[in-house]
Amino acid sequence: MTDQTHITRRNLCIGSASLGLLALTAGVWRYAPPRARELFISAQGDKPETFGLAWVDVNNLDAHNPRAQNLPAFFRGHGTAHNPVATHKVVMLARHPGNEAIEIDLNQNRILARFSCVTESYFEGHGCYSADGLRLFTSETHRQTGVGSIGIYDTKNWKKLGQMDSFGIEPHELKLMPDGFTLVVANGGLGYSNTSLGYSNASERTPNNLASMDSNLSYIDSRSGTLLEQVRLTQVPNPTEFSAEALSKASLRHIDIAADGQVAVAMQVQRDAIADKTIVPLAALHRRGEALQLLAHPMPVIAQLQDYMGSVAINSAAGVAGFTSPHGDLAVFWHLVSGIFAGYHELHDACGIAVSGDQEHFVLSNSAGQLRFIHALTLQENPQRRLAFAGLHWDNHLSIISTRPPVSAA
Amino acid sequence: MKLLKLIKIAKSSVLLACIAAGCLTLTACNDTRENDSVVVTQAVLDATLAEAVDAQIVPAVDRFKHQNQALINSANTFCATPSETHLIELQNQWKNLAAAWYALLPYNFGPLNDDVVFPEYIKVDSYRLNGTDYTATVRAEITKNLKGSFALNADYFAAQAFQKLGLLALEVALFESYQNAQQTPAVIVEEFVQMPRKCQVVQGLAQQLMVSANYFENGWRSDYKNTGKAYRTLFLNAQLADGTPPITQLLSSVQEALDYLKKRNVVNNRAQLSGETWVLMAALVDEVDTLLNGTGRNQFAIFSLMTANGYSSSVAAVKTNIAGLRDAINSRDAGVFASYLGLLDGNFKREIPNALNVQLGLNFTDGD
Repeated sequence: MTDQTHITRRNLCIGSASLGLLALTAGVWRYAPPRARELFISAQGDKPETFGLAWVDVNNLDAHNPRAQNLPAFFRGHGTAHNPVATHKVVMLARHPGNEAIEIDLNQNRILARFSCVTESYFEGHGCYSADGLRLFTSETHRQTGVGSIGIYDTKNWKKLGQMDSFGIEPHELKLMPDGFTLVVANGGLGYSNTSLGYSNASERTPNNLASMDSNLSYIDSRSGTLLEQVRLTQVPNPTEFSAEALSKASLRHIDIAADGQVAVAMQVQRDAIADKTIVPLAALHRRGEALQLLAHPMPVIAQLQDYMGSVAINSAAGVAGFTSPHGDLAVFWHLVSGIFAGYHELHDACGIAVSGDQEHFVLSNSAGQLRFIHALTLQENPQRRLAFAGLHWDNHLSIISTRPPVSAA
Repeated sequence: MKLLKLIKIAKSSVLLACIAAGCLTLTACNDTRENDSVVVTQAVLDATLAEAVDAQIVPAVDRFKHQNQALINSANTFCATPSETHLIELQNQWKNLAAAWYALLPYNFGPLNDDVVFPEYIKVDSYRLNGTDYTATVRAEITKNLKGSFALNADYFAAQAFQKLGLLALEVALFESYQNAQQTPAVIVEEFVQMPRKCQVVQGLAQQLMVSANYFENGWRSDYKNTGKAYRTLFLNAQLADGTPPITQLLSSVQEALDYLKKRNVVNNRAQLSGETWVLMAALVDEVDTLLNGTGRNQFAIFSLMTANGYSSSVAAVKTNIAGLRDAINSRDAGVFASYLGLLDGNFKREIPNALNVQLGLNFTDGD
């Protein structure tokens, strides 16, 4: 009996401890931060009534009936910017020459705010947050003067706080370097007449400065607006393989940044402004303090890109940069260290490219609403993971983001 | 009683059919829509594609091979008994072959263009890649071949870079002398007589071109890229490797050919020695025209689909632009020809896909 009582008391203690542990465990489980979601996100649509922002939680898809979350915006978006602190928030900016933007809550699937740049300017379609998430930097152009600038917005109320020089005309994509304060900006260098900008169909935009176009890559201190470094294609050493005239007609437009700060640049060439038929490289790499390194071979592949690249993404783990050409229906890849061509993948009208969160894949998107997974090391597609979203038309840029809902929402 | 019921059912069916037909007619009368739903079924679209493949694309592949074989035969005849008559026959056969190529040019996909790095078509037409004129390269190569003593056999030509092969190399070899680039037939014939290696060059180039022609034919008809399946089968079953719908593939390819002619100013840069450039342009325009109109052996044609979908004004616009191209060809007006190329190129980007409810892709343009 005593033993029994002893045992009972001991069991009771163990039981109590177990219950306490269970309760603690349950409590921890109850208040554990929700699992991060990996979202593939892009502007989409093929006509004004369908323009919007769509995203896909690829790890929680119905394999038989994959669906995307689609939020109408009623303007054609271009790039997105992901808030690095409030990770459930993104901004989508209008394609040039639009002046609208929206902030979206990805947990609540709703637009939190609409804002615009000042009426005398328009967005160039890209932006990025400051490291603390308090500011949004946007590429903008003044409608009358054509002067390029970086708009600075307060992300709490979307008031424009000011702007800084982009140090070139037609700034396009901009990103924050790993140091957390340096902006790298691709100034496209193309100028447009005000009349040209009035066209409803932007394909009719015709640059009016082809003879004098001047594209550059600028590094700017986002705290002071100071130009830290600027490079041009025409400064590439020993450019004998390509005529200086041809290189001067390449517009630096899209960028991505490796974990170590190396920048990959995607370009578009103004063929009408080049007298000869020279094939002009469409991709380059850059490190601070050095000249741009052209990714110029193999020539037959570059010729098939039709003078046009649409997006670029770096896979730092694999050491590979991927570029897309919707005009050539191709994604092409180069090794970051050697600059050697690594491979390609064919996909009709492919423009979006991003790297999966585990860095295992490049992911391609196209205007037919398709997603393709390309292994980052073998550059072979995994056909089992093909996805197609009926009725969606992925636009230029695909982003892959990790978002964690606020704890209070769990 | 039963008969009465049957008559009533039949009357109802006729009434329903009339209403349905009326609805279709009303739908078809609207010519201002863009990319909304169309009445032509997938089966009709598939039949139209099958007609395009079997009545035009595969025959164009066959004609190219046939003309290539005729060139080989003609070269053998000329080389056996060189004469001005045989030279002119050989030159005319080159013209026939070039025309067959330009009829095939709108279909630059599948076996013609199945490798990103070294697509087969560039071995036929080096200019098509990016508009680089390799005439100087070809002349230097012919000179090297004539002056050398190495064997000009099949292995030698198989190892040659694409810039030194194809229609251009044959044109230079057949239409001018390597010394002083003279075009007088007597001078050219005399050179062939004095330099037997020149015949080996022509025969080697023609045989190598046949390798490409065989590759095209085998890919379309029998085995595409070692899949064990004909590209025709893959295309018509919508089983293209990258998932592109076949109608998208076809329309994009024709549009790219038109864009190529204009952007690379082909009319002023190709077939200059033979003086055949306008004939080649006509061959391409004829092919595109027939693709749209159909061969007439049945009702399956792109224009018919567009009309059935209510886009008769778009059909008229496309026909106007094709007529403009023909006028420009007849008057040898390169400027007007380029203008109409641009218009027809635009038709293949917008009016035709819209009328067929086909998505070619988004408008990714310079500045995006």
